[in-house]
Amino acid sequence: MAAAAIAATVALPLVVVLASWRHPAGDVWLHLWRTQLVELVANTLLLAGGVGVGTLVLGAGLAWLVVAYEFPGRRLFEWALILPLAMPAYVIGFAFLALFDYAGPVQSTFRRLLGPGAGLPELRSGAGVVAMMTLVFYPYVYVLARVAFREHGGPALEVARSLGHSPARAFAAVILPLARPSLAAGVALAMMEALADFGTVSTFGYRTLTEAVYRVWTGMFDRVAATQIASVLLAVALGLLVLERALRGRRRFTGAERRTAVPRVALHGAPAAAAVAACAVVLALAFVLPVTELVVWALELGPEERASRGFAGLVGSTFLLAGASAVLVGILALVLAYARRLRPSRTSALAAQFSSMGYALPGAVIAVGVLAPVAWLDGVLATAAEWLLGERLGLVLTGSAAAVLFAYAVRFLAVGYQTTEAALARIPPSLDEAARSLGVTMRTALRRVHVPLMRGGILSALTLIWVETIKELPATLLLRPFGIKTLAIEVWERTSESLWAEAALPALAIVAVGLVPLLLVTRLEGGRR
Amino acid sequence: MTVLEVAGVTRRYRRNQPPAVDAVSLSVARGEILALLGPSGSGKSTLLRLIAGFELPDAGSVAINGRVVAEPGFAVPPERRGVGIVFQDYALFPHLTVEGNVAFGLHALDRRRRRERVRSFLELVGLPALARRYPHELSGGQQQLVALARALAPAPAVLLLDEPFSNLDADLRGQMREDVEKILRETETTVIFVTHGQDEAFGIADRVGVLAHGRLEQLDTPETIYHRPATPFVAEFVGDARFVPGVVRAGGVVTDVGTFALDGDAPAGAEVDVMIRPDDVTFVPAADGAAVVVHRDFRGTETLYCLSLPGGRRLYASQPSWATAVVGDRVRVEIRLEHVVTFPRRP
Amino acid sequence: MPVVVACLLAVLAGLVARPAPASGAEEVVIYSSRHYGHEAAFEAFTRATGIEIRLLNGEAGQIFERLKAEGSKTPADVLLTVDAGNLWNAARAGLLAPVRSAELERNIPAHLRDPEHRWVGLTLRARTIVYNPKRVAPAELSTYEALGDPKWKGRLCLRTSSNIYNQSMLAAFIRRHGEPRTEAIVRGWMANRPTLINGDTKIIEAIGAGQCDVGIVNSYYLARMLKKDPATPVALFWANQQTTGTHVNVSGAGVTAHAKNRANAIRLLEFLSGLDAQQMFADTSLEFPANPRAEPSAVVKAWGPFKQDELNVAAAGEFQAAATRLADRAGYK
Repeated sequence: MAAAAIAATVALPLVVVLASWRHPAGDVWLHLWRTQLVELVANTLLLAGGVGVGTLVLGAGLAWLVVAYEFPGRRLFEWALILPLAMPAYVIGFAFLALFDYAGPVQSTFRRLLGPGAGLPELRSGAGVVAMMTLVFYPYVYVLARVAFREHGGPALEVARSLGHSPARAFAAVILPLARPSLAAGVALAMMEALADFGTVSTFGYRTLTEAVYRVWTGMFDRVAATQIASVLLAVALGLLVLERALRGRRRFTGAERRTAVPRVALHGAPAAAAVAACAVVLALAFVLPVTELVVWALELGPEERASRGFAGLVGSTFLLAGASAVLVGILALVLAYARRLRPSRTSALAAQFSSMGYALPGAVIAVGVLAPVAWLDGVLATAAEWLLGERLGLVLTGSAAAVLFAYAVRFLAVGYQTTEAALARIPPSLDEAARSLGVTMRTALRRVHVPLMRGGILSALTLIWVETIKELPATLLLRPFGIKTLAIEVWERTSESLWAEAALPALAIVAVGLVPLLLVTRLEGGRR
Repeated sequence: MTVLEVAGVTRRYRRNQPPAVDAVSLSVARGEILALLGPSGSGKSTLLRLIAGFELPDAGSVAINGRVVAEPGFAVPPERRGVGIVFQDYALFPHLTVEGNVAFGLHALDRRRRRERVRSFLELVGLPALARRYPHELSGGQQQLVALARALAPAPAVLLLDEPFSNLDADLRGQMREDVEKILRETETTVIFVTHGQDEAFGIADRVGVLAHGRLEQLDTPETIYHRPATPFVAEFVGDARFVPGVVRAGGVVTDVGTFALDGDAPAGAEVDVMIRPDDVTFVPAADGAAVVVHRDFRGTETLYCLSLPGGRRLYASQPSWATAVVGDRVRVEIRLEHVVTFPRRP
Repeated sequence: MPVVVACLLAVLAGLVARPAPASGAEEVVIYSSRHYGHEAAFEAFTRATGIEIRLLNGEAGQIFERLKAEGSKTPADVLLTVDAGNLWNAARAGLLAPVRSAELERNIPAHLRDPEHRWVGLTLRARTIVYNPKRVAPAELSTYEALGDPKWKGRLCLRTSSNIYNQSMLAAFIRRHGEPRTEAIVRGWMANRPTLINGDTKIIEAIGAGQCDVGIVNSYYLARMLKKDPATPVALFWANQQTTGTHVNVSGAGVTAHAKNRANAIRLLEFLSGLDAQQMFADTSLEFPANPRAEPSAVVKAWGPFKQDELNVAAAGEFQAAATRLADRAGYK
């Protein structure tokens, strides 16, 4: 019941988005069809596909490297490779443009040393955008894959090797397919985020459906048509998920619960150097470089410009919102995932899947989708208050933290749900039955058996939601109450005026605040072993 | 006094397929140990899950202590049935210590009484020293005992054991069987356990139910099951029964291998199969013997011989292992039947 | 678990309870999609009148949706936004109420105000040509249209067409020249295979670094860079001085249709159009003051006076959708 209510509530803004089709916007579609629709769809699919492949290769590859091999610095890399998650995509994009653009220091140096013809391939291209997003989103796959490899990798590797496979062949033939649910969840998150992204594609001038959503909205003042374009994104994302499920067929991915640690193979010489280089290059590109650029920008400011007013308040409200969002969305996701475990059916799977599709929609579209039902509810409340109490009521929900949190739930349920479900799926069903045969209700079993067992998974979910909330801009911006401002808004206020130096400090703060739980969780994980 | 009453329970997973459990009825008395014996796929595990409440019957009912806990359209959830289970994989909670696992079902007790009860059950299974260990730090046998203590601690009305010894090494299995039976008898627990090994079933159980294709073929004492199987399936499944065709005459059943007195009455001229078990057959080496040893299977305390009779019929004979005949020896066969069991001739 | 839920509820309650406006205190509530350079003027207003200002920043299109959804209950008194197109759109959606004020009409030239008095421009922004003086002589430059001349092939940097400043500029062109002529202009630019860069500052940097030689940007971006680094190797050229005048746009404000503090809101607009506030705008944001009696900042003044296109800036809104479609048709991404 609770799960159905959650799914329905969270799906409400999506329904609002789909309802945009009630108003025909044929002329806009005709115009798009005549001018660019094919290009938009192709670009969008290319982006999603590129990011999917990119994050899979990078995320799964690096995860296997740190799980199955021993090389200098492995322990450091193992947690450091999660760090890029704290970096908003638009920040890394802008930092890269600043560094590697024609006018940037790298190309300028090339020209000075090698003559005016020297340069790098154009960053403002499909490949550039895919590279940027891969660097930011690969940690989704990395985080989930690492857990899956660690838990299932050992026995599978032993069996495969006993059947004559080399470790590399075993990885491709057994380990990867076995980790498929986790990998699919991670890649799905990365692809959905790529579909929804506006900041990076607009910075890089790469036209996607999401970019068209904004263009039609702000350029043609046609929000209805814009929302319709957004709903196509919804269809693309849903299609990708359904396709993945269909391709799985009747395969199952849980097996014997024999837990053997993956024996680490120590690398020496050239292979060790290659492993270190792979980790270091990714980490440098995705984290060290952009952070350095931000620090350089921050140092360009005079001391009194740097001492931004109300910085503590910004950090405080960011903390508060992110914390509330993580707990709320985390609980919602857990309830949904658990309900699905108790009553597995095609309908409940689809409902859960649909209600988590908000992640594939541009944030601004979701925000407006949230606004409609919330404002409607406000109207109902006001009418009821006037009728019952004879009192005139202002806006209670619109522009309240509750509305903001609702939007977070719509937007980030996917993150919580995918992560929680993956963790839940690793608990053998016989434990559920054991608990019940000992006189414990399913609700109590959740608290006494499942939650303790999936502590790692829940912590990952909370961390991801936390980090996402901190980076979130459009919904916070539109729905927030007076006086609440987050670091992301502070960054946006500066960057929308191209004031990058002024934006560097709050951007660094976003990274720092995002890192807090990442480090915390790593510590907790480390302490348990 | 009947503790568990299963009446005409049917469970069908797919509409167009035969039911996994087909109209099974049985009742278990207080303190009784009942074994459900059958090959894999016979429905014995499903029957167990129906009793526990993890499956719901499509027809029939389950009652515990006189209270109906499941019938179509009504089901008491597993946690309120008072049914304890020891799972095949033990299903110990990996995040809890031995103590924590045993205490898991005792949430109704206060802390002091819970601790006492945990200690007394750990003592019962002989593991008080391991209270603080985690499941993965225990041997298979120890895990089994912890699972047993955990299931017994809340004093269930019925205890279900699902293939309890299948995960253990052969040498451990015998010892565990004795230990577990002792504990179950001491605590006077009402038990149903599922197994596909007749040794286990015969060794522990007061009564044995044999399942095939979802149907309960026979429910009786181990001796009756062995000596008086109700169906050819039961006869073959418990003990290596062979069947010899015969015809009922005035003096008994006449077969190729001899004439046997008939216990019951069958119409003269009826065509029947006579059950012959290896321990009914003996032989002595004889150069003029009609049978030839074609196979020899050394089993330790006894040796199982396969003998070829004239006309190609084969019989099994178990002999003490000091008797030595080798493949190719000619022997003279003697058959002595304590109980002559016949079935109508199979078409 | 109950502890967690209790904590969550406590946090939620804390967040839902919004600070009520100090009772009795005069205030004016602003929804703004302009978030730079007005702080000093706002503080001056509060000092001068005792009226407190509460500000909520947002993205123009979205803040309109919030205003619409809040309807008659909106707390907003004033809508402040960049780009006349946005103001026009808000007015068309019925979000703004007309204001007749002699002071506003005296302070702000007619072509920078809504003909129906629903909004008024407060700062003026000129979108014109910038060039690399090492590679381009000012004599080579004349009009926006002339950037379609083949001599600029591969030498032109343009902002993407998704940018609202460009959309407004094309809208003004449509109003002035009609669609066919405007499309010809855009096609002329496109024939020169311009480098498309999203960001006026980035365009100026690209010109400075030699990636391209000319571009079209808002003047204050160059002013800000020059103020930081007077050696920035990019110069400004006033476009279309012999013909229609340089394209200008405004950032401006209007009083909302359901303003609770309408009188205060009008006082604020009048104050912002006055000499003191206009001077502050000009000095912090380096835009041009909309009030012609105020002086531009020194960096800006160095470019000298220029002739502006005196078409009413409302054209930016009226023809913006057409401009966006035109850009799509002409292959201007």
